[in-house]
Amino acid sequence: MPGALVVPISDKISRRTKQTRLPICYINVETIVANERAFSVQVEDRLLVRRLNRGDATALARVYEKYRDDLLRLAASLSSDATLGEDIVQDVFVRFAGSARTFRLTGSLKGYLATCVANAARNALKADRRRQAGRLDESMGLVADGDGPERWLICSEEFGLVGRAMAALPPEQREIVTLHLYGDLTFREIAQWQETSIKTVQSRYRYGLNRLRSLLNGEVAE
Amino acid sequence: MKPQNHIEQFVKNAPIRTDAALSERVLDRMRDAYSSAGSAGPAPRHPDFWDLLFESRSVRWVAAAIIFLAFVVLVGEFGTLLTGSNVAWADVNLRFQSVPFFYVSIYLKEDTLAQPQQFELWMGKGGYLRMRVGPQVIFGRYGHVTHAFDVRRRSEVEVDPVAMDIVRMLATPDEFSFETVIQSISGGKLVDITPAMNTQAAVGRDLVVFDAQSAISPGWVRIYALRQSKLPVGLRIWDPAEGFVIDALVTYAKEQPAVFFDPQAFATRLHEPGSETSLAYLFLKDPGGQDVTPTDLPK
Repeated sequence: MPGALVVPISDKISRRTKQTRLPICYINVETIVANERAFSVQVEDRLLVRRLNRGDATALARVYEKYRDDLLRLAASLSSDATLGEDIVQDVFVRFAGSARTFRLTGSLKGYLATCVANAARNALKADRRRQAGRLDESMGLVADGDGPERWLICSEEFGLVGRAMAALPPEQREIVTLHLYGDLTFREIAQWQETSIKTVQSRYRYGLNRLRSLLNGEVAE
Repeated sequence: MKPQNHIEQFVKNAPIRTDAALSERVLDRMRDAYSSAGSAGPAPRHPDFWDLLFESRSVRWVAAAIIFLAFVVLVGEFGTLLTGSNVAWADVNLRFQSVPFFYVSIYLKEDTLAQPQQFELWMGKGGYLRMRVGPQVIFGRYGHVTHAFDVRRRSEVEVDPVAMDIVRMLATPDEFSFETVIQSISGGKLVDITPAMNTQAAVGRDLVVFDAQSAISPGWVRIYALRQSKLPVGLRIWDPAEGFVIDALVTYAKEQPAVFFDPQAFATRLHEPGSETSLAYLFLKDPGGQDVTPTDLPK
């Protein structure tokens, strides 16, 4: 795999658990690190849902803290409107809390919440076509401390740039890029959600990234 | 880093902040919603092993993964039932950690007349696993698929979704800590299952048989194990109502060579001439020295 960081996995793991005897096997370290992270996230989510099922309200705070920022990024980018994004995320969290005692986790919790946000954003945009990309991009990135009414989401300059660039993407590309990057949904999951093929999703993702790259030209270090 | 990664990282990491007071207000609304839902009535019982297994056809694929969890229960029960002594859960985990490698062949049949679907799974130390489902050979680690290959098309492919789910549910850390799997899937619920020894079903002194009955359906599970070593060797799950059956055969052996779990090594041999059998079981060594694939046969 040219360009990939490849080291003996036994070296990497032996630093972590000295007693583990491992076969010598060469694999992509980036993949392993990502998998380990995903594994621990998955285990924790199952335990959190389990606690919520049992009536432990303290688990709510952890779920909220864990996914709040990415869901806000996702909602604001999908709706091209920070205020609408705040409303969507708040609504999704409150609905989740309301159903948490009976909630059954069958996949990724973040994926579930991200899909809820995406559905809500799609419905909101359908309900108000005026909020479609391009016109409301002024609301992205213009929110700062102390400006205007109370704001939950405080965008940095970089996120403002990203938000404006996202708003210029066709909605289907925007959905794919944001769900993949902020919601951690796989292309397969996004394809199911968009009711299209994986190949279409992958190609839209590539087009979307290329468009973002040209729109953000000069902002992204090469 | 590739240019594509630059833009992905820039988008993904664009910083935001949230107002602390408003954040707390949203969390308060969540707490209110949670409390209101709770005051409407008692929280329903969380589905246990049997609920998960039998309540819906749509979740039956889970059964294949749960087979392993049933084994854990079994070993825990053996400790008590066969020796009469109390075995701590830590001892049970240790027992499994001493297994360097195992192989399971799982046959799953949706109903009486359905063709069985076979899964083959090899697991080694360090969280490595390899699975064959239909034409796919799947490599994974820590419960995540790293590569999937199709031995018919001789190319890397998108992993079979059922296999991916099973692999995900089998996530284990460096050791075979089934306790972690149980925690991650059921929050410890599965340890409540108590199979009872069925002396009628045992056909020999060396074999012990345990049965467990679903409380909510006519489904039952039967576990076959060796009396001396206490290792489970077979399992059957049977739902008489719909004819849903899982049969699993477990074997324990010396660890396979490291290359057996190495997807890169597999990929390099993907386009070499040879049968699908040779490719599906590439690098597999029979611990008893028997031939496994046509490649092993004398020329």
